[in-house]
Amino acid sequence: MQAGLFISRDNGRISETIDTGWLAAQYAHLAVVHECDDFFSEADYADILKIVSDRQLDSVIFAGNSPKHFERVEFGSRMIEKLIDAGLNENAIAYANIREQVAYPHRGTREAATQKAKLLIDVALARLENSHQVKNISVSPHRSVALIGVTAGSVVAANQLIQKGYDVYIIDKKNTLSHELENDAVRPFWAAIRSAKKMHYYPGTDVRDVAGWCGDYSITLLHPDGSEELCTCGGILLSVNGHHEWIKDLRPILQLDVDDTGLLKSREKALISGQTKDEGVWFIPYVEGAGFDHEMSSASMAVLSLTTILDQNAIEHPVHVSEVDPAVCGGCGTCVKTCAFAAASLDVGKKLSSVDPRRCKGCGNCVVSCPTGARDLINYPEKYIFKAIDILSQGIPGDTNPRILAILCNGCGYPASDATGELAVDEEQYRYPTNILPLRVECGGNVDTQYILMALQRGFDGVAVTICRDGHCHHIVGNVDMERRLSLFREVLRSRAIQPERMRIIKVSPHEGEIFSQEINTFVQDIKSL
Amino acid sequence: MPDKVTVATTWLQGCSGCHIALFDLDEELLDVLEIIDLKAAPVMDVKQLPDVDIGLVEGCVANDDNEEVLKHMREKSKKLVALGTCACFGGICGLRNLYHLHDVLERGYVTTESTVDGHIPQSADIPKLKEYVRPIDQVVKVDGYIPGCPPLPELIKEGLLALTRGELPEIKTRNLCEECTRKKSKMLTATRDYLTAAVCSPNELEEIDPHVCFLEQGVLCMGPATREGCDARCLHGNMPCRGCMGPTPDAQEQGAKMINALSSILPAGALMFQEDVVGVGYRYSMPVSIFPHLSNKKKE
Repeated sequence: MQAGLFISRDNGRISETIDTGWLAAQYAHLAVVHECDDFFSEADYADILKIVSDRQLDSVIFAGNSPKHFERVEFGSRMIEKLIDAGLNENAIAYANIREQVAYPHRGTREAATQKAKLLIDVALARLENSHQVKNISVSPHRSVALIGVTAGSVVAANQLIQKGYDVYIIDKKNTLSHELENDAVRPFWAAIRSAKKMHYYPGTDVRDVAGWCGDYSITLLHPDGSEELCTCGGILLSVNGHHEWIKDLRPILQLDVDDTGLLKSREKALISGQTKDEGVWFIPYVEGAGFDHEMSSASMAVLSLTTILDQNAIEHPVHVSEVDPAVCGGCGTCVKTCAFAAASLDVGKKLSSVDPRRCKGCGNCVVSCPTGARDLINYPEKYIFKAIDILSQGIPGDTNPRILAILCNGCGYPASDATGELAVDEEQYRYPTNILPLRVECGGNVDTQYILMALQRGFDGVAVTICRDGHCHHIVGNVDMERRLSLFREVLRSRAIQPERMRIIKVSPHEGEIFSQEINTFVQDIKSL
Repeated sequence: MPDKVTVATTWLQGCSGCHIALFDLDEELLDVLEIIDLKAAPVMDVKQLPDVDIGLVEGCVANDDNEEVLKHMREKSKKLVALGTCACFGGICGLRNLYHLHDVLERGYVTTESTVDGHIPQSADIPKLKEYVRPIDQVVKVDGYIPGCPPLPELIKEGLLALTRGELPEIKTRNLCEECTRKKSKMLTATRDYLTAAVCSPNELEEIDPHVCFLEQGVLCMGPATREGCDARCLHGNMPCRGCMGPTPDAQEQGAKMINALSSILPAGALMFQEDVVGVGYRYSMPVSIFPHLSNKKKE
């Protein structure tokens, strides 16, 4: 392995707390160890890419900003793209989040924070050593878009899409358009497309199921007479206003995020159009009383985003779950029953399960539920997680607080912990002990009870597992299944004379840094008093 | 006539059921004895164990004597094979790892309902019970495994024949559903509702359907988390699997894995109140669990 470790001082904001020089010296055995001031400054960005190419690195670790930060900032996502273009596998890039999860929340505890940073780098190394290669499936996108729901915005969007040469499928639960066409501004748009060849209008029709991914979706339509029809399209644009009931029905089908009021929630608040987790599914946000102009801009923006993606010749989709191992799968059907996306199915004759990559969302629920361990999550292999628990169980020398493993789901707990860091950097009240050791997993459904048992066996005093709030799980049922598993698992802990209070589920939303800090500190106190 | 392969067998803590299973080969035992020369076995009263090609060990290591016998057997055997679930995973005896040694002895000798004026025997002649029950591979190096409580006689025969050819016993690796012929329908329907409204034991059912998956009848069956190889005997006898073949090779834990698997299939609340989740999940494999004993047990 030609691994390179890049450590960011974050212009002093990391290095004031973490001794980055000492840290760098600990990894002298790696091919490259390079300290810089800011991964995302033009100079350092270019430097890093040059080093990777000059030294022919096949894997890199970024010790610095949260991986979530890489996704957010332009230089971050571009750097990852460049590295992948240079031939690195996506899983040959690992992160040690020593900023949001070490330097910020542990400001003022230099020695302990530095030790913790080292553990996180060790975990990142373990990830490189134990990860599967990410494989992609290439799709040539269909030049067609399904518009779900008719509003002024979707009529405008349909118009623009048809002008761009796209086929448009308008799917609406309602039977008529009368209400939308009361608006004088909308009528001409409708008139222009109503009899267009590329226009396909399905009134009184509902969406029963969606399979596939950006560029190639198969939508099962349910017509008023109860018949079903399959509609194939490249992208999906939702425009359902404040139709709460419909959003509720569509949420599990399209894995939509909703906010506290039950409306669709955009991934990127700054955008005028609504972005979902799926790059092929967009929506026109509902803003009460915003008026036609606003809706038109949202629609145009969504159309622009969608067509930019769909105009590509090919879209690469990663496969999330490894092939089911025929040497151990006996065909029990647990995965079929557990998957919320109907991605797992069984060949009854062969008694062998398989996962449809077009339906799989990569939550890891089937991996955990599989009683034989016949499959693995590509991004969070079981072997890596066991190794990571092992590494983290060393704890922080000198920290007398209870040693706690914090299992953080990628959807809620991990960003919440990042948010705590952002708060804690300046406000002492949000800080927490260094002995809280973070482990990122994909989803609550990815939390195997074996991990908890192993953590306690390796000497952790407690395990905190974050859970998304009701109805907020990105994978719809990850939080539900995790809670069920852990509730049953308390009995196993009791049988080993481990107080079940040593395992705590912390309910948190991604932005709730205050709550994460409060809950984790309370947990520390509660464990101390056991 | 070429030299026969020499074999010795012994038992540690267990029930001798694996040896009985060997005898259950009946007339086929004669075929086996054509190629092996049985040098020692518990019923043969051999005082000096000779060097042998193959040592078969039944039972787990639960006291000082077990440990000594096992180590001696290891020294004398070219290949050592764990025979049966106790030797492979600790077995039923392993459940005692969930109790302190003193409590176990007290329960056995003093507080048993039928005991009058009981006392815990104290004698240097009685082998000292160990704090922990262990499968034999946690004490000595083991070359092969034939699991089962008891193992199928055919499995023992095939294992022995393989050993005489210089190979190791081959055990299958899938879960028991592979060998089970019961029909699944609800298990294979991709809907997220529970299979049944309640969980029950087989005798609570008005009629146990012999052709339908036990889980679909609301009965906890360990088949999904258990290794195949027993020919699904219990299932054919209209009883759910109890898990005696141990976990499949890629799962570390039978109990935790079963909880992962069942939580979304059967009503979790019902599982919690109606079944002994721990006893069911770890009945045969406690000593190979990730956390194989009480957390506050004495060190040994």
